[in-house]
Amino acid sequence: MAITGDIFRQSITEMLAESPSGAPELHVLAVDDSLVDRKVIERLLKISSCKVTVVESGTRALQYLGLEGENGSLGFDSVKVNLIMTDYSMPGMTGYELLKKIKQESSVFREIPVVIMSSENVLTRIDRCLEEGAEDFLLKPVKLSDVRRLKDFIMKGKVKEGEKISHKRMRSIDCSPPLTATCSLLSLPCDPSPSLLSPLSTKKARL
Amino acid sequence: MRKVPMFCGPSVPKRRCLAQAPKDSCSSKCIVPCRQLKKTMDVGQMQRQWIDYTKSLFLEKGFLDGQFLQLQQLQDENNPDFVVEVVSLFFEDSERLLKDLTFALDQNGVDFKKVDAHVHQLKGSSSSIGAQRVKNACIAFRNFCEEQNTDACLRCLQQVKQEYCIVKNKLETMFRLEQQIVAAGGSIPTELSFIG
Repeated sequence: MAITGDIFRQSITEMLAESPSGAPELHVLAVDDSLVDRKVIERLLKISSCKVTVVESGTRALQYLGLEGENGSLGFDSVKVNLIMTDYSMPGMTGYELLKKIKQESSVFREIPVVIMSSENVLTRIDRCLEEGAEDFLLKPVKLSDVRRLKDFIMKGKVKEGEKISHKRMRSIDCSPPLTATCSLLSLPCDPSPSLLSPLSTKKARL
Repeated sequence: MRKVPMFCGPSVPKRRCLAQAPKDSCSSKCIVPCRQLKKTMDVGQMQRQWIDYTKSLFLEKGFLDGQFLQLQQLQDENNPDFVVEVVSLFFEDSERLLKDLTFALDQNGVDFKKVDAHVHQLKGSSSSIGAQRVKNACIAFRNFCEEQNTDACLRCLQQVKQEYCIVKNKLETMFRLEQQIVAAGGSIPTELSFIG
């Protein structure tokens, strides 16, 4: 039982950053040209147990992701980002333009969920962003409940992915000859057991 | 740490005392001299005074809105100065923007796009800290930018400056009260449940 739990946890950890305590953390890249808003969003995310990187422009965001500059997409120590939250109205590159650039990229970057934040409730703007692939559109000022809801949503997606990955691993262990007594206990049926899911569901409830 | 007298005696309403007490010296209106204040004013009283003052900022004239409460919720023992830090950034940002606005509206050919951009920024940051009246003044301001009405814009700028000065004053008073509570060994009340 402990081994299957480890496999599952390992899958999630691969997808997420690791906090100093070893627990998996969501790494969020926040983009905003406003000093005040950067401070607030950083705190909102930290208090929600996320790892946060804050930058002041779309250009900086692309540089951080390794998508701009001479290093380009040479995969130069590519940073693992699980979510991008960007302000819409920014000088230079708007949040919408940043969204488009990310969605035009290779599969790894294209899959990072992007959330747009804006102080203006303009329906056409919201539609355009969602059409371009934004995960969500948040009205500023962003609240703690918004961040929590977002985190839950992203983590749910990660749990599903984690299940698929650990599922594959369990199958491969099944096929290999059992080396010890504990390994032989792993000949489980293909469906993930309820006890495998329950530690995660209590974790989700706590989020 | 004796800057503002907190207590003027039972006959003087607390709020009036706070608003009128000058920063650096005991008000002559004080019945009880400061040395004795320390004995009569305990942490509980200071905390109640802080609550009253904070309440007045919300309910009396809507200087602050629910967003300010959100910020207070983000403060804890590990980040005890969060609100002061954000508000300080707001002060810096606003002063820069007000200066830029004054300059932009002073030009012969006013660039209304630029003016609007500055106002938009100020509206955003005031909204983020819950400075409701500043935010509302900015909204009105933007309408006149659209109309490209210089005179109206100048009036709006005056209005925004005024609202900014008032809320700055109020927030600084609040922070001073907080410092006094902490200096006396107390903690800032976290329950401000009077706002829906």
